[in-house]
Amino acid sequence: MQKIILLFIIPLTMLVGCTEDVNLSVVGSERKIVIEGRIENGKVAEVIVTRNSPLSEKVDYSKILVTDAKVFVSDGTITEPLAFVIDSAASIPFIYKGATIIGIPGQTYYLTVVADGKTFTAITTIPAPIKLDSVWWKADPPQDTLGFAWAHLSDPAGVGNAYKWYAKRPTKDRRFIAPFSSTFDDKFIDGKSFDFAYNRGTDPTVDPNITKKEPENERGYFKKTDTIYIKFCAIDNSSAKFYTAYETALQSNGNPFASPTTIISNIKGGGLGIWAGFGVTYDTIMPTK
Amino acid sequence: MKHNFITHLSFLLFFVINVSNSYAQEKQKFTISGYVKDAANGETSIGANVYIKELLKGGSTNQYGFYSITVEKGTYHLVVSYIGYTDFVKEIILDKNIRLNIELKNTTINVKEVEVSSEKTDKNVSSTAVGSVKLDMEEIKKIPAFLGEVDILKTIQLLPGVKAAGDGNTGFYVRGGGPDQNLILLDEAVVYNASHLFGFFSVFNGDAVKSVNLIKGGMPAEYGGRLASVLDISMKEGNNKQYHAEGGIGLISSRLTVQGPIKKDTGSFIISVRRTYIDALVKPFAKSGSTLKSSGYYFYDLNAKVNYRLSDKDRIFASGYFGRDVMNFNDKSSQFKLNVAWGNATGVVRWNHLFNDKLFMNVSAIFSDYKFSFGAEQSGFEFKLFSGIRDWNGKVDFSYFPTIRHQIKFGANYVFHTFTPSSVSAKQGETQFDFGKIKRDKAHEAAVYLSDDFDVTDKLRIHAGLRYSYFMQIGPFDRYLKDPITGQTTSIIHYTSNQKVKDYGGLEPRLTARYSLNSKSSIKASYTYNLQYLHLASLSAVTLPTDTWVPCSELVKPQRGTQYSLGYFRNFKENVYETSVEIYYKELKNQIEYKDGSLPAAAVNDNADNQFTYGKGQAYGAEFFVKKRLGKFNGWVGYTLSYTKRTFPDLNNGQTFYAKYDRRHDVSIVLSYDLNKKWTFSTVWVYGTGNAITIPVAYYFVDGNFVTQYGDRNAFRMPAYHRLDISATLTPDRKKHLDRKMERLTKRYERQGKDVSKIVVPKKWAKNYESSWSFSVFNVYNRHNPYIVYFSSTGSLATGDYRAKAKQVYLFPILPSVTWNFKF
Repeated sequence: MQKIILLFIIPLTMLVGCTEDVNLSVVGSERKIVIEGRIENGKVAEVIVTRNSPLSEKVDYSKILVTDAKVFVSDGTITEPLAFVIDSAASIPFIYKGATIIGIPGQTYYLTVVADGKTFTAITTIPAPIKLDSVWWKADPPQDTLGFAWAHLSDPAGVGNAYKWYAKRPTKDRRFIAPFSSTFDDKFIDGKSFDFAYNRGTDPTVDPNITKKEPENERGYFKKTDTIYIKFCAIDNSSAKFYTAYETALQSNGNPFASPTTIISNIKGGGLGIWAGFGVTYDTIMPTK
Repeated sequence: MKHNFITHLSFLLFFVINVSNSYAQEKQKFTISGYVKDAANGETSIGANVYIKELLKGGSTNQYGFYSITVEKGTYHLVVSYIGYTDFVKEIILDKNIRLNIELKNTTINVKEVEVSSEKTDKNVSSTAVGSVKLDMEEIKKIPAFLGEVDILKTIQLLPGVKAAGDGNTGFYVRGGGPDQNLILLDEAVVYNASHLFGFFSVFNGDAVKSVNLIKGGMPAEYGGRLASVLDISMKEGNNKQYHAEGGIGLISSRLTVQGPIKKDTGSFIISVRRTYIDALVKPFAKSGSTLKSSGYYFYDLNAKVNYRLSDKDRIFASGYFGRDVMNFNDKSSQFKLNVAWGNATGVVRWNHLFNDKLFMNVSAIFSDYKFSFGAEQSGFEFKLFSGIRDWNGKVDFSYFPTIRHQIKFGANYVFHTFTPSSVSAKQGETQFDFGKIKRDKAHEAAVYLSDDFDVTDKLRIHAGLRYSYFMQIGPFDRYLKDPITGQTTSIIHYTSNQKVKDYGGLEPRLTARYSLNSKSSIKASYTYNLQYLHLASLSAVTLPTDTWVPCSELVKPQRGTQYSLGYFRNFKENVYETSVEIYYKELKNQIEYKDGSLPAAAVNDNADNQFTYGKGQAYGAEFFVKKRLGKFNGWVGYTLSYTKRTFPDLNNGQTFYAKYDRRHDVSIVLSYDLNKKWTFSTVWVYGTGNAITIPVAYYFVDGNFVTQYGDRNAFRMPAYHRLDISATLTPDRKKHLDRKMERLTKRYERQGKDVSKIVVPKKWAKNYESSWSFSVFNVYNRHNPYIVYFSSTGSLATGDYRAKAKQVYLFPILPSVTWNFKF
């Protein structure tokens, strides 16, 4: 839906527009703390703490990474500090990870982060996981060996469910990857039972020189011979808002007609980012013979 | 509230007492009345000055060219003056009521210089109109036109206080008001989107338009429903003396107008059509099967009007406009198809009736419609989006001329609105997605008004008006109540057909005063209070045809605007130069914006207004204007200094921010030089402070991606907009041309030894035929004016070469064009 204006405008700019680089004196933002935390059912909490990178400056990883934050997660009864660890399966491999508190659907979790002399807090609840009825691979004609990952979902009656889709090829991907528009809610599909499909997302943390080596016609496709792990997550409203806006912001990067997308954070205390509870179910698509 | 009511009441009382007083003083008075027309084509003259020379008092013709003056018995000189016409002066012996229809003769450009109208005639100084500008088409046609298309909207944007939003924007901004706060009327019908091709052209075809009146302050009570301005455009009625055709052939479009009498001096018609043909020109050169071959853009429009005088007292008019923009895009490689169409349609039927010499009535039935539709298709997925607004409007207006001191207007107006908010249908193969039933929001809007333009003393003239307006949203309507925290629908309230959902109403007082310091200068002041029941919701940084009109509802309150303005007007050198300085202060309430983080979405199982947030606005500024009206060398210079601010509790952390069209400095210079009968040159230079926009200030990590963090709202300025256009019009001297042809013909006869006296002159030579060439260069020094500034990132986080770059899109480089115009 959010593409309407973009679709509308692209031909217009093709008809008449000319684009050029300009030098503008831009005032940079103050440094802000960014928190990307999640707790999934059956897993411990994982939190990435970074700082933003002002537009006026070159990206400097030593300034972005926050390695000395104090991070605490509580389920209302017990509170545990999270340890700073290296985890190769995370988007940025430096994360704060829990040990004792394991996510339970329906439970509310409280996050506290102390970083750069400020305290940030957030609350989330893990929604009840909703299992996909079935998953399969289907070719995208006229191709016969390249296709998309399909699934059948029966949305529970009552508006308010939201979902996020991830997929991973165990032998090829470092982590679960969200394709574009991986977040959706049941505003238009409430109580319906239907098929849907996703293409293969690209991991932004992979060196583009490696991505470029892949034949162009195979990009975005799963192969007939791929094993695909599907991670299908039920998420709450504030996470859905955050991720939808985040996806819009990604798509509008470099789009001249995009209006500023404010990504609404649920972090209190002046921070950016999200503290999200994920009700996760996993499925596997095996190579079709 | 109580205080307010008393103010209104005393205001009304003052008004009524004053009028009745003047009746009491009445002695043996007679009325002279009639219509003022153009002698050549019978077109009525709107706003012509009609006055008694001995008294230096009078009035002006109304929208239909009617005037009426009542004075004591006596012998007077009646003077009628109108820009571009020779003054009409006639001695009248007023010992009975007289009906006098007056025909004015057009002056040629060269005569203008000597034809300086007498002091009294200058409206700039003498009228009560503050912040009001009347432009005639001849003046507009001289200004360099973008790609040769004469454009009314572009011309008014050259006036102080009126700002263009920049290339490619459909809206214009008057004194800090939004683009939705302009009432654009074409023969009384509201035009909801006045632009073609995303604002590059206006929907008004210059050949079909008679007059343009812009009111940016001191809005008279007969107008309402908008806060910022009125742009009142009257279509030509058609020549009621002889048949004429005129047109033009340009680089991207052509137009043709045909007009003539239905019955001489009684009825006439005019039809005007226009179409662009970029698509038709490009297609033959495109490869078959290419995207270009199956894509295209065009617009067309049609204006038509007929009028007929049934009797000396009754006249009927029917007029209409229909225009569409159509854009097709078809990319075979990605199987992506797009079809976008939008446009206005209006229809107006009017009946003028003269009850007596002093009371004039007009009854109108008006239809107005704006539609937008968008369709896209890709690999089996079909998507349609549409929106629109439709009005049925009934109106009755009276002009009453009791004495020479008063010109009273009163009337009533009723509109039935039907809004179609953005509605969607979509299907993937056989599966139809559920977007709920198509909604149509319905509302009644009504108003009554009374106003009087009267001379309190010889020096003080006042226009006092009062308008009462009322708005009611009715069912069928579903209200989706939202949980303030989760944003989820908690319950739905259903309203049945015609059930009242919400209503609003209020008094709108208007007051304008002119105090003459002397015959050359005056001070004018105005106070206006307006209510507006419609809002235009715009999500994008630019105004687009996708913007939808939304009515007031329980959540959306009427926009309220209060404007104070003060001006000093002075003419120099026998009215050759008109100058003015005006200052204004404006307060706006109940303004809407989308909430932070809103995304364009259809109002499906939701109300569009759930996405809005509300705040107030403030605008102030000063306008300076110098115009040389007459002479070979004429034109104007306008400068505006202005501030436009908005405060929304839920936006920008509640801090006041500048509106995106806040413009500190705005300059327009328009010059025209009539070298001789053959050549006219003109030039336009405009300068405007850059629009205020919101830009990214930082990036941050989410899920391995870098996303944008935006800075304070509208805290950044785009580079300034400035541009120079020039044009030259060549009107070949047909007489000279024919003389030369005749000479050649004579010589041939002589060579062939024929009798010269027996020359047969070809019939077509005798025809009254004119043609002209218009050459123009748009953006002479090729300024890359930013349409949009945005930021784009390149590189990868993995390789560490990630960086953001500012980019700008500009639309028009230097663009020369040539148009050939003809008339016969």
